[in-house]
Amino acid sequence: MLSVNALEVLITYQIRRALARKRLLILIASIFLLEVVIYLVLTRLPQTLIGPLAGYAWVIGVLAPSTALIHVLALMVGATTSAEEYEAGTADYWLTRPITRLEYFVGNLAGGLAFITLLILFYSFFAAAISSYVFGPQNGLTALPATVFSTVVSVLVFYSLGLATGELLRRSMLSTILAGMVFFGSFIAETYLTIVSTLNNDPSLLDAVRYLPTWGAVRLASTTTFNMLGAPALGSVFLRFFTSLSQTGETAMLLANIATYTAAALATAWIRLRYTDVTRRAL
Amino acid sequence: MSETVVVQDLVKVYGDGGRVGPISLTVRRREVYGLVGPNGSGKTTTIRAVLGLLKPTKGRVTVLGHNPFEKPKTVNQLIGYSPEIPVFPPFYTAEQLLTITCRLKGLSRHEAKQEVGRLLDLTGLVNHAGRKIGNFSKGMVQRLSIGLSMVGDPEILVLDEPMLGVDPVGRVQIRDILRGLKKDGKTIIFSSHELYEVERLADTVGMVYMGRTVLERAVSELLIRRGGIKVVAELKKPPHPETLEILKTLRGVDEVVAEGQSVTLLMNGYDARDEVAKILANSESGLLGLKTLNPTLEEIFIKVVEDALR
Repeated sequence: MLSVNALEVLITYQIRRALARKRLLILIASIFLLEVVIYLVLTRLPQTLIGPLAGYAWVIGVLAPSTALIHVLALMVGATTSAEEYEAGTADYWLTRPITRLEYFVGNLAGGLAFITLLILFYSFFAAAISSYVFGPQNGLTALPATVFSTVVSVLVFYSLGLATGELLRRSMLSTILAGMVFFGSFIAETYLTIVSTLNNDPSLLDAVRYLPTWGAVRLASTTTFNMLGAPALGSVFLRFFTSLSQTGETAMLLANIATYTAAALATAWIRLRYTDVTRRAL
Repeated sequence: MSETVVVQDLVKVYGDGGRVGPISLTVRRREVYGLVGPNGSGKTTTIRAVLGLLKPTKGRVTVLGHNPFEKPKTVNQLIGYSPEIPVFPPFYTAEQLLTITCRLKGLSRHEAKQEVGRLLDLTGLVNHAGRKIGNFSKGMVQRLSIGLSMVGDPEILVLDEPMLGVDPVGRVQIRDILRGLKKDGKTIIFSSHELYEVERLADTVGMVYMGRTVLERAVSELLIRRGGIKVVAELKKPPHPETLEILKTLRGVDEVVAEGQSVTLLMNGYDARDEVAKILANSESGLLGLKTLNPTLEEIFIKVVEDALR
């Protein structure tokens, strides 16, 4: 039985810790900067191009970070959530209080995820607010909660992977680099296979893409959003990038991909924490 | 149960091939147990095994009958711990961290408020309660660490090098806190490589050297028996080298050191004070007085280590 008290303390702690990290703050700032730049560019486009998009401008702002930036942030949060605890020596503080290792694990996991969720909420509502202000009333905003939720689910892959590498290596920089290599490696492999598949008209390569960790993570939010929005939104040229992502995957398959990678990474992290020593702070 | 913490033939083999053990110790209720040894001797490994932070490769560790690695929550409810180098989240204030620790120990809001006040007062941090820990001095962090270990009035306190890196004023404050705890009948395990501190505070001492327990004994007993007898003879004139040679040949005399008009002798296994007095009184130097000193714990430790190395 998990102690709600212990979980609440750890979740609050992880949020405060994340906010105290400069590297993360820079990445958060870059997400909001990306939002501003996107809308700045859109307002400079001719009315003929922007016309069909105007009612769905919020979709671009909400989905843009989910293609890469939010996953990089998630893996950084995951990698540092556990590894920095050992590096700094604060793991000793928590694990010598009356909490179980499971409570510590779940508390840290939930804390990091709560931080990312808050961030997704903030930039999503920020995007929706800017869109409404700049382009007038927005259509299909009822899909926004589902988009936010699916983005949160999609970040689980690289958040868990970061957490697992952090727990395994117990060195924050090294684990961030390793998890980052998996993300970018998968991203590059996916792009390469997709191009080769298109050029050679070989659909078997696209099947291989389905096993990559980025496949589910990058597509889930756009697939969920366009499934809810339906035909009107799909007509826009500016949303084609996102719709191309959504057309290649079925939600169930995407969720299966996300669940598999998340479960494997979390199991690895948990086994490492449960059955091995708590590493001493490097003196 | 009079035994609170039992470590039996603890062996820990680390991933890099480092090995500690076998270490054994028994801490009884209301006892102040000093774990001594040089850096890297296995003190911290022992303490971390007691706290359930590491899994012994061999041997058994129990805290009031519980296995700390398997039941860390139960054990950490019974233990208050202050680490060798305390590290706390720098963005919390002392008051906030104490409150959080109270909550984790299961204290109600009202109880926590009272406990935080009591501990801030005890550790002398009342005036710094609202300051962020990141701005604390080493001594203040150490005092906060001891305060945190006392949250919820745990049955056993484990303090790893509580005086490490603390200035003389801070040491006096920490020593006073420990004395108060001893007076209150707390079971305390504390490690140190400063034997002077252990000698002043501990009831029992466990000596570890190169990853092994080399001795475990009551401090009082140890100071009387184990270390032998140290005698200082005050003379009228500096001693003749021949006299010193005669003294060295006496049964039980391990060491003879002359300095000016005094001679220090260390005896072990046999009390040769009468013979020493006779020889010196009849020598040209003449004997003014003979003073018997108990050896310090430090001297005993060096001797025990030398014996262990033979």
